[in-house]
Amino acid sequence: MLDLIIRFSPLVLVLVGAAAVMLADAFSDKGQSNDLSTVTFWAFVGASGGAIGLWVQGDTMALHPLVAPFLAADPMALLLDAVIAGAGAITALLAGAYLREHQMERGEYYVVMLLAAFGAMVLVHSTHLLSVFVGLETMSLGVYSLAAFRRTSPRSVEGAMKYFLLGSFAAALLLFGMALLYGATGEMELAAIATALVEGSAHNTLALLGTALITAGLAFKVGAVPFHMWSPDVYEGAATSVTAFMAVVVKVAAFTVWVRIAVVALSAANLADPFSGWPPLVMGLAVASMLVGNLSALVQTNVKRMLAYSSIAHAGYIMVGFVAYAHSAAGGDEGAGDQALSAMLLYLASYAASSLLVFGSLIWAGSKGKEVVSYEDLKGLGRRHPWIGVAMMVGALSLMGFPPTAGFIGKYYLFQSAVNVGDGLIPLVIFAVLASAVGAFYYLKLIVVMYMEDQEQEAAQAVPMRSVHLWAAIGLAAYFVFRIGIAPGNYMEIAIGAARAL
Amino acid sequence: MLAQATLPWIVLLPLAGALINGVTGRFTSKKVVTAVALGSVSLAFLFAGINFMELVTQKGAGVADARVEAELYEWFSLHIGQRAIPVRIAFVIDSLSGIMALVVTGIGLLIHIYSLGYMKEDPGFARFLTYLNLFTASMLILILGSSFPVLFVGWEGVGLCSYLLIGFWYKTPEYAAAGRKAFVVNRIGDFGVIFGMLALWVGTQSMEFQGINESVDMLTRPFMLGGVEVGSYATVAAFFLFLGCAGKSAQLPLYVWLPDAMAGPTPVSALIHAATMVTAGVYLCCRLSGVFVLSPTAMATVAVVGALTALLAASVALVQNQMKKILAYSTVSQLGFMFAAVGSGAFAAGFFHVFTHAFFKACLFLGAGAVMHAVHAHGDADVRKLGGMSKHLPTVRWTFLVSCLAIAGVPLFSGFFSKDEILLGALLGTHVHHMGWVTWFVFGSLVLAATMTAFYMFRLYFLTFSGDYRSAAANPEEEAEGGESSHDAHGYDPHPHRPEPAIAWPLRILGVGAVVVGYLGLPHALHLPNLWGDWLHATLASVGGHHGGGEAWIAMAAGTVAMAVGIGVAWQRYANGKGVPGADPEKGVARWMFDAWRIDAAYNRYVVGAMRQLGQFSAAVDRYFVDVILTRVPAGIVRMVGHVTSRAQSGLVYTYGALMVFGVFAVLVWFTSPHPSLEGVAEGNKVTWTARPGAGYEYRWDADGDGEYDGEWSRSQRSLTRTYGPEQFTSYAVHLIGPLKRENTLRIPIDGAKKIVPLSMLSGDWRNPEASTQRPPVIWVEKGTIVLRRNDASTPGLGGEEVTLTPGQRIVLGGVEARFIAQVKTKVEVRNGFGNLRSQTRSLWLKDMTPVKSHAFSNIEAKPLAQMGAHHE
Repeated sequence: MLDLIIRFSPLVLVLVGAAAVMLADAFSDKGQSNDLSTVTFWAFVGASGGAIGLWVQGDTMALHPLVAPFLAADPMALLLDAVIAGAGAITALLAGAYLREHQMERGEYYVVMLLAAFGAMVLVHSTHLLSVFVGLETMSLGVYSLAAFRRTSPRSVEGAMKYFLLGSFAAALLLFGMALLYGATGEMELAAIATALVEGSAHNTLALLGTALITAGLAFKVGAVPFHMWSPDVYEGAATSVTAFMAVVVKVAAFTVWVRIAVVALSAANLADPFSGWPPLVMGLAVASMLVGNLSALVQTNVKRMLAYSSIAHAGYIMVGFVAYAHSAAGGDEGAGDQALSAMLLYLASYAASSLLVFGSLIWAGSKGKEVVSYEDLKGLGRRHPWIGVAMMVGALSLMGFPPTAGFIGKYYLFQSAVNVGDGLIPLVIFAVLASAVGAFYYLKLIVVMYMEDQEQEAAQAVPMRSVHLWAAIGLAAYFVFRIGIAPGNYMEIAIGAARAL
Repeated sequence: MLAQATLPWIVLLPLAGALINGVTGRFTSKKVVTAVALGSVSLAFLFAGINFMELVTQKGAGVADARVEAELYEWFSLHIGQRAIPVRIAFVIDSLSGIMALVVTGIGLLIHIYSLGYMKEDPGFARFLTYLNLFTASMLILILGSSFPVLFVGWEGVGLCSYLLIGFWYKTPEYAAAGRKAFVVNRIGDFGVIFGMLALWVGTQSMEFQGINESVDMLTRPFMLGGVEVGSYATVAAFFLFLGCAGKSAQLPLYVWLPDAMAGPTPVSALIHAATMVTAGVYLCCRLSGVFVLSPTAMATVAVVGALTALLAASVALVQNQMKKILAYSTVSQLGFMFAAVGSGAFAAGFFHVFTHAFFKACLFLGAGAVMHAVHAHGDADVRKLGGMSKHLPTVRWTFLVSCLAIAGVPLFSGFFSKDEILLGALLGTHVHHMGWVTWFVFGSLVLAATMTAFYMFRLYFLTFSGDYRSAAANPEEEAEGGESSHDAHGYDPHPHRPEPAIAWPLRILGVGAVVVGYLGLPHALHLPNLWGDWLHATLASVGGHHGGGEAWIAMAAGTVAMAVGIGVAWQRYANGKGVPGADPEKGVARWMFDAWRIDAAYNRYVVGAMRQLGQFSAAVDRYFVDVILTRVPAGIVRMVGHVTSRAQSGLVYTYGALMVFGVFAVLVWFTSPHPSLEGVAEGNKVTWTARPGAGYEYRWDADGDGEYDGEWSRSQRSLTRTYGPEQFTSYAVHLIGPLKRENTLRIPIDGAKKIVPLSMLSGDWRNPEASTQRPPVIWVEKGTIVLRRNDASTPGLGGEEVTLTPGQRIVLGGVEARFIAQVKTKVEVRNGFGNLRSQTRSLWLKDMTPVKSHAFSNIEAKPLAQMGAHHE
């Protein structure tokens, strides 16, 4: 029992944090201000530390048979625990700053956020269709309610409603897909499904349909085109701290579970063939996401909407790594496959850090009464408030993939892993590079607007908020952006280690 | 252990200092700024000392190649095929970089201290110290980097700092322009460094200096450019590297930035533009001495350029009237000495001069700065308005005099020893570049330049320090008024004030150094122990040729005579306030020399002017072509598409749901339909066809292309191998491989229609010189074989007018290799569990069917394909 608690200490710590926040909120007097965001922050830091500790310890003992089929405590799960908890910690600080400034801080927020993160972490540990679904729904329900957290804003509620409706649709697809896969193989455990499919004892048509529906359901969660429609509305409507959480944690967890299902369960040659299986479909989704995401981001006037579309484009880039993995795995080149997987993981981490930096800077630039959401609000910001300008610029450059930031390293390794596969993927890589060139346009537009344009005289200028929480969050995010960007060596090794162990 | 632990901090401390002062310097007090700047550099000096002692210990223990290495982390890795070669951020101290590190931190520390006094009233005090720290860090990266990319970071870093510091008083446009000039000229050099680095990388497959020096043997192979040999890898690399060195170390033809660089504050001139940065080129040549010695041509070039620069710059310095300008040309000239030594293979001598020069030239610059500070001259000081400073500024006078004696090469002063070694090295240079005239040219130029050096230095000394103070004498009435504003227009402050301790002490220390450091390398002629040569012996490339007695005496005598003549003439003309120059020379050689041989003006006219015109043209292209046609039009299209894609975002949830349904539908279509993706791989006449696997896929094949399936549905037959014969060929073609691997495939109609081989597919010499008309060959198919009527094409070895060929045969057709190939076709149909069908047909050219040996060209005859196959088995 104690062994299990230790082995899953990141999850346990997040749960304990949720309980602590709930109790603190329930038993405190009305009007008494509790710094719940700090409690949440430390719970996440603890979880992150636990994950790192477990990684260092490198325990490979078998888990208790009651848990073993459902959850794994492998290096990949631990790495993503650390990423999710780290991102959670930064978003907790952002929420502390944002919610307090805009006077909507309530204890529930942190409880729901911790529980949603718990769901995300269950998801990255899942090795069984049941736990996948439970984790996914735990995460999603939390995120639905977070999206609606700004109750007074019709946009927030509207966005959350759309997210919920379409999310239920996706969940139904996923569940149906899982049921079909179970019907085809008689198994729910990912590894056992793979065995059944490889041995040929599975029912082929059911397996195909199951794969199709699961792919569609997961594509919704990562926000791939054409399952992306919810994201701009939700990103725009939700409180910015929630948007940051969704953009990072949900995407990271959804990609991880997709990778795990595809790599472990659907790895049979007749499903994962790079020309006739799911990889070409993923390639199609990648191309569509890069195309639609980048082109739509180009014409937005609202920065949060722009970031929503750009996150769709980033999902497209990550899927390039996915395709590269499938090609190398089918070619029997394990080294290249691991490299592609690790490039995806590194990209997720660098995307998380850069997004948090940009969202943090957006939050920073506004205060009670006037938030910064559009390009118009950003005009001249870099000259009025140089530190915010620098933070936003670094974040935007990183999302764009400019050295020496994390985004550059992420894109470089990702595209390199695709080039390594051979000539077959060169057109895809060229497309991705062109797409990111289009992306450069709207990220640079942020910088241009901040430094080279002036706000009209009568327009109300946003006043930046002052919050230690926020500065800490910005500092942390900026640290990781540069840490990955300048010295990616050991992060790369950790990611390779995780990919190898999968 | 201690050495290794402290090694990275030699670099990191000044870097941290720069970072701290750069961020907080504006807000903190001067004391804090001073403490950070001085503290970081003094600790770096201490650590450099610790590392140097470690080297001494190792040498004492008999390790010839003593070194301390510390790796920070792996920066990136380069791939050659499967091999990954890591490029590390690592620092190395060996006998070469150890000395440089001590010089940079030690002299750097003195100049930091000096700046406290010199810059204390400048509003940009914190900025100045930040730049100085940043410079120190960059210079240390340059010196200590274990590999070329790390060195290059430092190389660019010092260039940046030099730019920032030359233009330190950026509000004066000329100063800012001087900074820009330095930057631009250095770019030309940096281009050379990058190419040199690439040549070495390709040549030795190593970026580490140790690795490069260990595998220099690989550099002797020829470097091919478009099929033409342009010299060995070593020559190419050395030429490009020397271009870089010429930029950084102000050699012909790139020296023009250094005299202008004197616009920066004087401590900068002393540290960057005399003692350290400008010697980086010499350092690089020494670091890669193993590469340079491999190329006699490059060595001779380096020597000649160095000697010419020494001569030319010395001649310019003869007639200048500004203190710092004289010193600047003197620096260019002394750098020329160093390169002349390096080019003659006397690396140790050149590096020795780097070392001694750092002391006496820093001392001279700081002395000039002290004079300017004392008389309140801004920018530069005109010697015509000075004089008599020995009474006012005794400390400055004595240290300046000692340094003049050193640079002039008076025996027992440091410059004498290093210059003597250089002259000896030049005399022995024949061993390296094997060109006698180069030896005598270099030696003669250097002796002449040394004479001039002694002359102009003592001219400067006498004009500045002896006689009476001319600004005081010339304006007695203004002196009486004592107005602060008066000295700007006519003369300098009539009451020079004595230097404060922060200025005086660095001068004294450097003055002592200017005397004593020479004793590390005692002359070879005297057969005394030469510590310097022994110390560097293992690090620098050794060159054949022993230090003969005769040459050593010649060198020493020539150097001494040159010195004596130079000082003597200067004494005779300028001592005790005599011979103060009047207005700038108007005409004649003196005017040319005064204008630095008008090289700058020529550059301005021919290079800068041409560049400006090119720039205007490019700007026009950019404005009218790039901006309008290449930018606005595609941008408009992309934007329009963006509007369309985001228009779908109606905000209505059922639209979103509908699109999702469409997505699910597309996904289902993909998974419910089979995907054969048929591919064939030909090997001779045998083709292996493969269709893709899939859940529940069944296959049936029509491999012979007859339109009927060969067998029944099968789950296992995903792949099929078949050997094809003439009856299955669906079309024929002639595949032509021309010069430069230009390939063409010319399909021949299967119905027997005649096809002309276009002239464009044949090489230029296809013609038959004896024929009067030039008709191209004609090809057609006849009964499963191919008939060629050669017409006027030259077909070596082919007898008749018409030849019958079988597929797979190769002939030479008008200088082009031609092969007759055939195409085969196959079809597969796939069915999956849903009962959905998909068929795919693919054709494939059998490009390497039935290989024919080359001797078969001479006796080509029609043979059935089967026989040919048998023949080759």
